[in-house]
Amino acid sequence: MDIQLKRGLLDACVLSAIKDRDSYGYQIIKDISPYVEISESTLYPILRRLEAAKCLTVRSAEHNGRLRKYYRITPAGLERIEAFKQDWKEIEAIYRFIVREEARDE
Amino acid sequence: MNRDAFLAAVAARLKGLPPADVQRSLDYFREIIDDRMEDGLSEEEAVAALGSPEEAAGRILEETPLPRLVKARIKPSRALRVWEIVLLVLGSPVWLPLVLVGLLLALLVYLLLVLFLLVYYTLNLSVGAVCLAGLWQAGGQLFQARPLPALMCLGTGLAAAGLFMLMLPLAKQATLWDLALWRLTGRKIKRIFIRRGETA
Repeated sequence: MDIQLKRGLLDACVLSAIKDRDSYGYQIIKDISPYVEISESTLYPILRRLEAAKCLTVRSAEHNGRLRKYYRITPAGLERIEAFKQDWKEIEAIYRFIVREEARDE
Repeated sequence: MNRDAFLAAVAARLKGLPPADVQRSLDYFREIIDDRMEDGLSEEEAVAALGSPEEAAGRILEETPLPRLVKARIKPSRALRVWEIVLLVLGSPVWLPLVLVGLLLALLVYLLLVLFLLVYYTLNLSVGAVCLAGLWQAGGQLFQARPLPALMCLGTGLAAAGLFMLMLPLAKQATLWDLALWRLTGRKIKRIFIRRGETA
């Protein structure tokens, strides 16, 4: 898959994984993995990028005697998901157009 | 590989990045390993599931803005630069005379060129003078009714005139070459400084 496209998809997936409740790294991986192949090494830069874009906030909370980082979505993050959905509608329209052209060729 | 070895390997590859950023990255991977172990994996298994430390560090470096990356990459050489300065100062008795000798040699070459030109002009003028003197003397000898010396002086004068005419265009050309060389050198030196400004 195109790198830029996958990057956008992964951003939306990560935001979606923390949309309803705060989540942490390993949980996000477990939630997304069935749908998109994602490694811990890939997730970390995405989280940093989304934090820098103010799409999510980070807080540390104690868990079993150690600290765990929880990620919470921000209004900007929710907007990003909406923007992705909107983009996807356009992509779908383009996809239908492309498929129709091919059908006519055959 | 155990957890600490993995984290140390990642840290080694992130060397030069701001320490706070490196610490955050290590905290992230430590948390993931701990979470996986809580999920029932052994420490080795949990670390193996993360992939190689090279890949982990590589992804972080890929996302690092270029200026910060460049800064991180030249940091080790910056530490060396202090040593370079020390070496420069300590080595000045060696390199300073060498540089001065080089500059003096360049100056000498130019002075020689100018001198050569001056000598040539003098020679050219002398030949011209010989020509005039020869013709003048030829007239004098003739006036004193001494035809042979008069002829000799006339011959010398005419030969000098010929030589003078031959030498004159070369003098002009040599002057032009010399001026062109000066201009070229001047431009070269300027270019060095322009490049300095561009890189600085």
